[in-house]
Amino acid sequence: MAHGTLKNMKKLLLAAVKFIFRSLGFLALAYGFSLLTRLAGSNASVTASFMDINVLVARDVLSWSVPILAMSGLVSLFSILHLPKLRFVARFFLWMVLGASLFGVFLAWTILAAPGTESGDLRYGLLPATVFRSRTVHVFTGEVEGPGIKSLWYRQTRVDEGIVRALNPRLADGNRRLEIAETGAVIDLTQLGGSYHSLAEGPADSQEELLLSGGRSIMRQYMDQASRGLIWMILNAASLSMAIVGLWFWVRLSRWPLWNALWGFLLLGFMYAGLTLVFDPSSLELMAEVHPLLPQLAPPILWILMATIWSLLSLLQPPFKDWKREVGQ
Amino acid sequence: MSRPGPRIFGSLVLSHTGVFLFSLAQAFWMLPKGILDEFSWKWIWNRTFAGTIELVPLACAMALLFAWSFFIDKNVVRQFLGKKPQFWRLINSSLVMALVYGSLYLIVLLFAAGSFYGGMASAEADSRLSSVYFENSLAAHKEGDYPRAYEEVRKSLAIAPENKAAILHKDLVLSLIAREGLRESNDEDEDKGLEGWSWDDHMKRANAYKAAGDLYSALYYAEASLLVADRKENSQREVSDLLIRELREAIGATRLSPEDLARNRIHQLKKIAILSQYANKEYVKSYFTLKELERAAPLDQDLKLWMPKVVNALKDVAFFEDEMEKAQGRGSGNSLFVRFPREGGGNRFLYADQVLRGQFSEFLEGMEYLETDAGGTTILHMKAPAGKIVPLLDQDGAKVSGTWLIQTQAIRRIADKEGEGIKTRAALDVGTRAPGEENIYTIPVSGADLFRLASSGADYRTSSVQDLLAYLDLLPRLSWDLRPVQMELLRRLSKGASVFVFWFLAMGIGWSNRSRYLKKPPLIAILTMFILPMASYLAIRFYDWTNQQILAGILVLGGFDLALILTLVAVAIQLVGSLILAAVQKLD
Repeated sequence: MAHGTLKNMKKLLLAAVKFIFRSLGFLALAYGFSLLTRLAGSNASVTASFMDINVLVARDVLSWSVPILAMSGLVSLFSILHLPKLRFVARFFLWMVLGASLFGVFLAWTILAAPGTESGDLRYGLLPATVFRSRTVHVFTGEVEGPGIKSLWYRQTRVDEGIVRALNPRLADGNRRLEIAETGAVIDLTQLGGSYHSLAEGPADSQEELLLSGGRSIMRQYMDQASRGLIWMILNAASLSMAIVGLWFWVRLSRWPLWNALWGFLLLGFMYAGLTLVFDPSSLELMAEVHPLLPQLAPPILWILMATIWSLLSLLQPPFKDWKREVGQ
Repeated sequence: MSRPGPRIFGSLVLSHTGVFLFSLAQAFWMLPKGILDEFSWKWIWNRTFAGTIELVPLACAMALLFAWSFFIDKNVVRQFLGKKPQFWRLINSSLVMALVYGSLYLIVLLFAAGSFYGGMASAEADSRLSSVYFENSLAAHKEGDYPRAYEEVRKSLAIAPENKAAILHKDLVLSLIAREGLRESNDEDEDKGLEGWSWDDHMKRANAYKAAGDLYSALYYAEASLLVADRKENSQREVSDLLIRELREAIGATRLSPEDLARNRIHQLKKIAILSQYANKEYVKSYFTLKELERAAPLDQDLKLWMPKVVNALKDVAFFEDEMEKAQGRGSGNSLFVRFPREGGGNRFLYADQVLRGQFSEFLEGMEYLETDAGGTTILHMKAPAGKIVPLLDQDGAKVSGTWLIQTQAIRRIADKEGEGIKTRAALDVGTRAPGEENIYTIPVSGADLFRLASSGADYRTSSVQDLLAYLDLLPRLSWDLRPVQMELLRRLSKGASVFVFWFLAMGIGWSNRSRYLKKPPLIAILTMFILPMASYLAIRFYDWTNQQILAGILVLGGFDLALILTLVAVAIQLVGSLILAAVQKLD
């Protein structure tokens, strides 16, 4: 018995190590992906310093780290929850590890939330001596020098002013627009086919962009919540990790693993929608009217409530061993 | 039904049908407002097929995921393969199907998908162009310029002949023109007042006198008939002229009046002028002088000999407006802007509102040409309503490689009332050109290439793979950004391979997450049929998006060669990974 318990403890620790390495692996992938898109969008000379880009990339990665940790946590649940007589301990252990990871993420965010790093977002990437086009304007970039364009010729399709030469046009709106002083024309760089933005992301209102910008906004809200102080950091990390561990109830709802996976996918969607609703400015305003602390308290309360209900419901589920045999895991 | 093959096939058919119906519904939903009724079905079908092609990886993933997860269990497998089956024996037929289907998909994606996007773009462009002409016609009608209103609505109907609003408007404009014409002809009759007789009346009287032998009276009425002959009807004048000649010959050549002698002298002088104009390469002038003389003396054999030569020479400096009118139904839909390097430094820019494709040539509508020196100062700026692109020919009539001409001078077939036969020509805002060259500009690219470029969308999804490969050579010569083309090539390659990847992944994931209780959870199976497409759709969209992000990043950072190599490596890794996932599955 003692030998069996020791073996199970080893498995438990191994699962925690796997969780950490799995999370680190995903975070490294996200880091590489973000670094690539950030670097691609700017000329080397454009960026103020490599450090700035690293700070921006780290912020990106932190924004994605919560879903990454959630997914890693869910996968890890499969590898430890089957341990006999240790279900509760295992779940508590994972909850602690996940909570600590989220706390670390929040802490890193507050350290990296230094002012003045937002301006490095230079994602236009126009080549010199090249013709670019959009539905409304054609542009020939004469000389490109660093973040600025020294000269260009443009022709608007719906304006009868002809081909116009512009000298030293001004970059505006996070370097996404060019303002031509001579004529008052404004050129949207993100709409020009061939700019990095249009190559990689498509139209600004694409489904992917909306989904990701929604996700980014939720994560930013979370990070802002966490940066209010140590107690908020702990509260958010704990409640979020409880909710993620509580998802286990849903993930083994049926004996068809594919359905369970889809259901988990759908649940993440519901969580996303719920958070969008909670973090909507009008909702935050309404909650603040009820109690000034409610906008900060609502998400952790919501997750603790959900996690408690799901954990209680999971007591009604058949033993894990039986379920595991039936689904063939 | 114990064999897995029919189940997988049925699942594939169902999912493809679903995807097709979804694309059809989406096409109805997304139908642009500006599309004319007669182009709407063309747009809808093209959008449906284009959408279906984009969603084929999704259809395959859904079908295989569902089939391997829910339709096939170990009993089915045992019946099919015996007591000790192996998983690879179960999936080998599915792998063959994947190879055949995936290869076909790759071919369709590379060669046919562009034409569906092209069909959508052409429906949109035709609708837009037809509407612009129709709106021009309405504006001209409002201003009371009925002939122009008629011209514009005629152009609109040439593109969209079933546009009911345009047909009604054309009838209205025609009736207004007829009413105005009747009023004008009444006015003219009053002005003429020559015994109130028509041309027919005069000719009848002249022929009657001729038959009676009174040649002088016949000549009087024949000459009078010229005064009342319809200005627009050359045949009446020719008949009158013929009768006058005949009567004069009958009366006797020696009896020519001094006016006739003077007229003959002027005719001869104008013929000499034609020779001189031709020698000075003033082909437009010589053409219109010829046309003038031809009307007055249709039997002059010299004129008949000269006309083909003059028309042939004319083609080097001008084009006939009706050539372009015939092309107006086939517009590129998009404007064009290209840049060529200028000899001695500087830039040459060419802009056109639209490129039109005629039977043998391309035309530029609303064009602009600008030249700058090395310092960027504008040294020539020209605007012209129209231009025709023709190949440059050498003295033997052979095409000169790499050089084409834009003619900006359009002329009418015949001179109008004022004797002015030139419809459009270049207007120079800045700079001057040598005499004879004001309306000719050389470019290093053919009209067909310019039309192809102006027809393509900014992301090149409408282009065929042949066009994309041609652009790799063409675009750098025009200073166009090549990266969207390269991106589209990489995207298609990656998208084509994704069918294989999703096929193999779906087999592995579906089987590893299969249900052991096939008969028991029908409700969940039904729910899955709704959730699975949604989840797969989002997952594949996200996969495509991530792919595009990474490809664009590598393309911008490392260039096309690196991006191509990494795409091939990534595709290979994904294929191997998904195959391994399928191959390591066990039956129990």
